Amino acid sequence: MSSTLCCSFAKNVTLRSSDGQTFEVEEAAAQVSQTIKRMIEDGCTGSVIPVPNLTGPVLALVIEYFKKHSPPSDGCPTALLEMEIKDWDAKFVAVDNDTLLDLTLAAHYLEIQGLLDLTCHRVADILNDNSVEKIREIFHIKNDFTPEEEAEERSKIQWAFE
Amino acid sequence: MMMAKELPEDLVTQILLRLPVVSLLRFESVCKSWYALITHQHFKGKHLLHNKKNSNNTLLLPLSTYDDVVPMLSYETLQVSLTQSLPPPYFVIDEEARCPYSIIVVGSCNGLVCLFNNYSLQEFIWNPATKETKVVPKSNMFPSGYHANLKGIGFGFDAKTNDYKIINLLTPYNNPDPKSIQSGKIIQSEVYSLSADSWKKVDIPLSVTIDRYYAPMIYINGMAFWRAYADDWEGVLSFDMSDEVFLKTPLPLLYIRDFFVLNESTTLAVGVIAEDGFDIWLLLEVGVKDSWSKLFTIGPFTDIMRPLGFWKNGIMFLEKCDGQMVLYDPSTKQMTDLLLGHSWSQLITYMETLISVKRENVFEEQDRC
Repeated sequence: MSSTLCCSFAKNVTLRSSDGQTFEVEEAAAQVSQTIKRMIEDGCTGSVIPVPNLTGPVLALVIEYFKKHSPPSDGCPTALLEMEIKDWDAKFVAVDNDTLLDLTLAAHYLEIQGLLDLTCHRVADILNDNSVEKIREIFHIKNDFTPEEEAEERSKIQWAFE
Repeated sequence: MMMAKELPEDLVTQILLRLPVVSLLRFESVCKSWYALITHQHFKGKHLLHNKKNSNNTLLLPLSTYDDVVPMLSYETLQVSLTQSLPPPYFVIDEEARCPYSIIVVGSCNGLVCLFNNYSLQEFIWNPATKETKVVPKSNMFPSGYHANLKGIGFGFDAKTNDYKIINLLTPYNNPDPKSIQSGKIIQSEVYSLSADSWKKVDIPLSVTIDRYYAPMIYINGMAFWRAYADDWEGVLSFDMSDEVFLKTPLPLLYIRDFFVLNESTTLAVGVIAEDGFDIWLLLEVGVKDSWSKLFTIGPFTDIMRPLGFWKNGIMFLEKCDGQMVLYDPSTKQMTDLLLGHSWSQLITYMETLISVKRENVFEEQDRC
């Protein structure tokens, strides 16, 4: 925060995605990500900050999250604001499965704890509602059990499948 | 693909931690790496810790009927969320021998539940979430011709050795000292260790009486508590699961007519019968009489049998004279019927877990520490 104290206007940083798209965002908002915060503290500001693990569309979504979750200027979030953010969060992760996985990976890579909790929770809900076969499809997981192994494993806990 | 969709293992772990046990058991068959992850002791421990952190509690309300089931209540809504059947085949007993109190739920700790069959005198460790059951071997502490009357049972976790333990408090018959039989005093005790799968004798350096029908065990943080009496003393008997020692704590006042041991999440509480109500005391330090601290007095009541324990925000469970349970808010004195319960109900906090009741897993767990 001390780096912004000297300025009367908010300081911006530029983030660049893996496919070369650039986005300008307030420095305070971008620091919702611990990874970016460290890069700024290490003196990467002024130049463009590369975010090589995220494509443009995913980075654009993450920046929306940054903006919504940047610390309020008066420093004290109200209960009403918190509720509004909660609603916004729920809508934010109501996306298709591939986008959700991209966001989960982005939250992991950029160390955004709030987004990580949010996406993991949403993915867990989706898992809970789906069959083993459907889960393999959603997560692009190859079934490496032989049919015999799988049948044996299932027979041990048949009740869990009922 | 611009981005690999395959999630790194630690991220898969983060997601799976949020799932209930029944889903995790199903997902063991997604692929070999998920199987290895979910069945690993490290994950089982993390999953339990995650549930603890998020207070994913359920309340067990054992056993009100002739059915071999345990109703489970959601901690939030206090509605019955699931009715869990007792594990077969151990409880298939003669219809004639069936009675409402034939199976006693001794207690629950880290998602494992200890059961006692009053008819066969058999103890069990049961994981209701995975449906695994361990039949506890019977002890052979007593030479032939001696029989023991089981006065108190405790169940808990020894954090020092990562082990689950059962403690039996016994009055042997045919004891050379007839006085002890007459008074029903506990003079023997034995501890079962799940990791060793065996019983051993422990010294009980005090002579007390416990009635397990009316004074079930309360378990808090590695310590089992029972309401206990002696000729010149009444108070709380406790057993430390790690150090395997007994302590007794006299009650705060003399000449108390009756009292009830309650669970107040981190400390022991007792409800002492006072004029038209109950005084609620907290025990701040086990073994120290002066550490009793009076929390408040509840009442006056006309129709309340006893306090049962605490829910959240200081709200208490009480049992009415007809056995039904009510919620009572001491700050507003408001009472809400729960339409649940039976005489001498017991409410046990439970949290589902993947932890196995098979002892080889306990060893694996120990090896990692």
